[in-house]
Amino acid sequence: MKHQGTETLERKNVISDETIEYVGILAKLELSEAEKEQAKQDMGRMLDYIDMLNELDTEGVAPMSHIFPVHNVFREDVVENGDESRAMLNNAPERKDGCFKVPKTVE
Amino acid sequence: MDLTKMTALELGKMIRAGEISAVEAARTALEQIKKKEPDLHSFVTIDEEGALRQAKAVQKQIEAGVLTGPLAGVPMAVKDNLCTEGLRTTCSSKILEGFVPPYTAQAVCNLQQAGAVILGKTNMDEFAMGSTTETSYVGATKNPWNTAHVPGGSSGGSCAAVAAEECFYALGSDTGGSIRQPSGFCGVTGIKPTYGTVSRYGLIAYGSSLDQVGPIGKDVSDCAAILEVIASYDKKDSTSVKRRDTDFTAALTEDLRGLRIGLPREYFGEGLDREVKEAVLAAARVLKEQGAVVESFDLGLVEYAVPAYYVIASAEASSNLARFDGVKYGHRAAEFEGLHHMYKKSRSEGFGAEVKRRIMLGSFVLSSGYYDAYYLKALRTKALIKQAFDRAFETYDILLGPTAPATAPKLGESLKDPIKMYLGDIYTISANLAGLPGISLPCGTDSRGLPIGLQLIGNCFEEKKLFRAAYGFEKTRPRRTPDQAERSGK
Repeated sequence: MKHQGTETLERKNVISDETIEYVGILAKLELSEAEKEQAKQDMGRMLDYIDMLNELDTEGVAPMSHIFPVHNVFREDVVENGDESRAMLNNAPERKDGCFKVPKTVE
Repeated sequence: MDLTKMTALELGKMIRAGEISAVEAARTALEQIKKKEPDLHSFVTIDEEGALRQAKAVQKQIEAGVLTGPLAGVPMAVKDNLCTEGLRTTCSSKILEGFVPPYTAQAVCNLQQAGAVILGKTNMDEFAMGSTTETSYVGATKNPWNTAHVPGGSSGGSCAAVAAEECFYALGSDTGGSIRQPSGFCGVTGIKPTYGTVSRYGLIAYGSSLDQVGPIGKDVSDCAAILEVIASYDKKDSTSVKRRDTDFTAALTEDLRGLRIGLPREYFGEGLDREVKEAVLAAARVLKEQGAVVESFDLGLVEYAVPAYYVIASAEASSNLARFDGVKYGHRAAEFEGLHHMYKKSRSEGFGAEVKRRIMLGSFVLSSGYYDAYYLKALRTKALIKQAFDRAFETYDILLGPTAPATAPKLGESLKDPIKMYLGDIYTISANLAGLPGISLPCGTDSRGLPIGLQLIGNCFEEKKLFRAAYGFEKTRPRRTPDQAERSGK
């Protein structure tokens, strides 16, 4: 295998501060400055490695999300389970009046 | 007689014959757990009280003639990413600390109906992301063959528990090799079935298109018997497949004449440890002596499986793990300013470094502007990899190679270089991308006494061929356990 070396001398994918900020928003993660620097390094290095896929000619190859030709599985819209709301709520960090409690979302 | 030495089927037979009770079996396992856990840490949660309660109930049903199956009364362990009603399930993550599921995973339900006695929940890499069980929030599991080494991962707790005879079998999950690689490192047998064979209902999702639940046992017969129980069509899993040929134990014959076995040349090239290579090639010779037709061939595209996998698995993980937001279950930050800050802070406090790394990579490859270049490119690569396997299976019944490029690394060696760790899954990952069944079974030990795993990969729905070949090979050598190795001074 020719891609055993993991230390590349030159980083092709340089991740900017803006990109890491944006990814933080998408991933809903709050990173410290040190974590951000580490994430930039890690992601750049990983993308350099993933870029190996560009060696492959995939022109005309359909993206395969499923191995088998499975399609959406439909059923009649009939309730089959009982009321499990109490059991479901038991794990909530905060609950009130049979509902999940979240911080105020609208002023 | 030392009961801990029994296989699951041997123990089940003794229980059915009334030679020992399910309660005695559970007590034996619990004692062994007490003895081994301080050194190994295979379990996140040990449910002593629950196990004895289940054992009593199962024993009654056996005596009443209600439970007659081969696994009735046999104590086992469940990986901590499979939900168990009333029994804490954490995925070895801080974010699910204290989560007690309101329902049980279908694979576990099937086993309970067959009389399984659950001893507890086993340790794993956090959310099954890792190859060493070192990313666990509750701390690493040690390899029973040498506690300075990792058990592999992510089902490291399950495999270590089986190897150390803390339980008679266990359930694991395999997204990129997470049953097979730790089975190889711990000298036990584990199979990842064809995608869709075992219901994923109640398996806390990592990479949904790749995840599959499977058995980890002391030998091939145990694994076939367990898979027979957990394989079932389930309408609660929309990717579940209706299969008829799930009588896997029927395939356990020693006759290997005419079985065509292909050795992918790429699985024996650069990067493979010399001792592992020798042991795996020796296993291939054994199968040939038994009548199988064995030859080498070029599979192709092997090196592209790992990068394609990390794009697809991370993308799916970023979506699947969005549900952990501090609202419905799990960890919520103590202080925050508003809803979005609560989400961000709870997640940032709750997830470990490797999980964050994969969620961020997944969010990136799915983001506008990069979706085609990374995510769709990986899905196209997956299609090519599947085609390469389809071609191989036109000529061969099964493929044979090592489970991993080397035996278990030392604790603390792997996490420093993530890409190097990811490359350790190079021989197992393609089977997940192509949905194929794969089994790992022991084929020797290296000069340090660490187990070497032999991997057999079959075409979709052809587990029986894997079981047949694995059983044929297994019959040629005695089963070894870590304590036997200790006694012989190796």
